[in-house]
Amino acid sequence: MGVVVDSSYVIDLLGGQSAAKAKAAELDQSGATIILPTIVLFEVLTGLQHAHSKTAAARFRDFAHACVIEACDEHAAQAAADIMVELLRTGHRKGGADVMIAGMAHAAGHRLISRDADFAAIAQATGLLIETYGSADNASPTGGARHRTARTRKAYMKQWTTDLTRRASGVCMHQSR
Amino acid sequence: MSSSAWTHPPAHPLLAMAGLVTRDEAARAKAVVAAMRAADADTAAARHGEAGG
Repeated sequence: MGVVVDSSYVIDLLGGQSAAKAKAAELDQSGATIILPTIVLFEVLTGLQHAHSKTAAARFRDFAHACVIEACDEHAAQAAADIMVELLRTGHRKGGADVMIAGMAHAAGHRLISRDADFAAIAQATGLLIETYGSADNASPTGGARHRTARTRKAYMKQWTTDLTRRASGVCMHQSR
Repeated sequence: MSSSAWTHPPAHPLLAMAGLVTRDEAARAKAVVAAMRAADADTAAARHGEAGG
């Protein structure tokens, strides 16, 4: 079983966050295969470049080969479609990128490293194993709720609260450290 | 692992990525990713509503 890294984790690691570094050391020591989905590569490179950090983006590309860079194949696409249908049916609003990343992990039986609360609902629907790092108490929803409109932020915070309650009950996420 | 994996061996330990960017650069990149995902989720919900879901 490999480990899929989400954009939120990669960016925390790139920024030198201590909890993310500790998780990286743990993963290096375990010898686990670290999988970097091309969708995550796209998101992180976009984030760095749009933040006017082209040099940082280039540095990241050089070091991204610490992971196996993997594209979404047909099995993952089918798994992602199944997840998205279930989420839509149950009234959860999740973006395609999140669901594709989850589909890749779910199809191959990998676990996913993320502190993004959006994945809690996905885990609830799929049984996907999500591994967090450090304290999740101060993890904001995708780290950027302030970028939402007031209307979507209100709905999102309501969903986030629900997700956190589920996570606290240990239903869908666990703390590995 | 899927057959489409780019199966080059890892060239660095994962920990080598730590601190490649400043905290400020990381925060700005994270905000951009968050905005992209929020827009994506909102679009999915709107399209689902339009489709009568």
